[in-house]
Amino acid sequence: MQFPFRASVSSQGVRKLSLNSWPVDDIAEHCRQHIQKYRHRLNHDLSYCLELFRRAFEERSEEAFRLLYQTYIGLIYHWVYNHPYFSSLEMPADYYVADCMSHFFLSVQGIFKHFESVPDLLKYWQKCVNSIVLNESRKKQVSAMPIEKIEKYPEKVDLDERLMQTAIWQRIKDLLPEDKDRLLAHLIFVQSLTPKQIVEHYLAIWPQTNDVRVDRQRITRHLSSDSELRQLLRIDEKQE
Amino acid sequence: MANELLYESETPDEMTQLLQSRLYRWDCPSPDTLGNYHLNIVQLNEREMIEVHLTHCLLCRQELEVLTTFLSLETFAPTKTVDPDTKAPSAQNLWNTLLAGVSAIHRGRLQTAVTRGDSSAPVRLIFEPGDLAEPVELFLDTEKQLDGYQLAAQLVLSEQLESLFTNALVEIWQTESLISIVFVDEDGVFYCHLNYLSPLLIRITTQNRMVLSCHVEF
Repeated sequence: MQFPFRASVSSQGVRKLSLNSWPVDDIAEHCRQHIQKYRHRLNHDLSYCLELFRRAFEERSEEAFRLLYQTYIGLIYHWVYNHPYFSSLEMPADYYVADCMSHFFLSVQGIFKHFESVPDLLKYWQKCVNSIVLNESRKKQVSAMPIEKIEKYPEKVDLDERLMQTAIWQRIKDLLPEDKDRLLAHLIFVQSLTPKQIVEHYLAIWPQTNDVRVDRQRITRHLSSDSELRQLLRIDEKQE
Repeated sequence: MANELLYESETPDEMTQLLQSRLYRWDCPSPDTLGNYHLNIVQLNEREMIEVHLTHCLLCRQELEVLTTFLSLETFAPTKTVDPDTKAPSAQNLWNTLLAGVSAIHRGRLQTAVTRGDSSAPVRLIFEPGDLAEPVELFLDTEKQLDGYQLAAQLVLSEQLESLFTNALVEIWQTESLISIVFVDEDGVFYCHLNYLSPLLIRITTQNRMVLSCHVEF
């Protein structure tokens, strides 16, 4: 794995050594104070917060984890509320905040040494918040699709289903040797885009929605006539 | 044919619906993988695969744009719409949501595990998450100590599930507060110190982010 963050904190080594002996409650209190200073654009020192992260992830201190949770939960709420997709979700923020906390704590285990600073850690945490919100958004998009039955959500598919999806897509590619047709198949079957959306992004290939519809009908007719694909999709079994 | 298509409904035909139901975003990287790609913390071969995918996936490109916008939010800075100081002061806000999640919000079709019992007797809880082929048993016991109680817990797991639960994150809540965060060890065991006995909410998040939560009344 490649990390863009620098390797270690040599310039703060002396401070880190001295903070090692501090009680974790004091570290957390100083961390909170310096976060307030940061927010008010005053001189601040985030090494206390870095030490709190270190106690949690390097020493696996239960108390440090609990204090991290308490210290940063307000920020996580702030990020969830301000995520561009949050307003379109159905559950209250608390529901996602809990997952954002656990997802971050689990993800950073084992890779903490690669983070050089508190801003690096917070950027990663923010990425975790984005992942939780977008996962929910993807699920919501699936449930809103005009399809009678969505069999599986991609995040939850098991190996058998993944193999079947690979086989289905490979068969589609075999049946559609032209790049243009493969692209349209992906836009329609995998991304579920409408003709209008496709025209908006691929005007040079499909100038009008009717061009998309014509090609779509041609390829679906071609795919429908293939017995191997029908077998993979169990179309005939369902009809019986 | 063109005239016929002019009047065609936007409702997809049966074949399209069937393929969409099987293939919807099947090859899209997860939001987390896309995020790692954005932060440049993916393997080189994975990076190349994502870049190829992005050339034709409008949805993933859109999600990357959302991520970029979102990451530009200034760290710690309150916005005009939400001030974290007033909106979400502490972990206490989560208690009711998590408690509701035990019985009302079915996450992976978990069964609610609520028990009442003698504090000196081990408690056995059974989870039946929909994603797993077999149930997961959790045994809880408390032992009186000079300064309170020690909660000892063990998940009874098959060999197949051991790797899923080793290093799982355990949040232990009591009286509307988070009192401890611990990890499940390789034997499926975790401990927690309790100052007193009162209802607990235990939330276990596995390595694949499956959540098991239970409410234990002593």
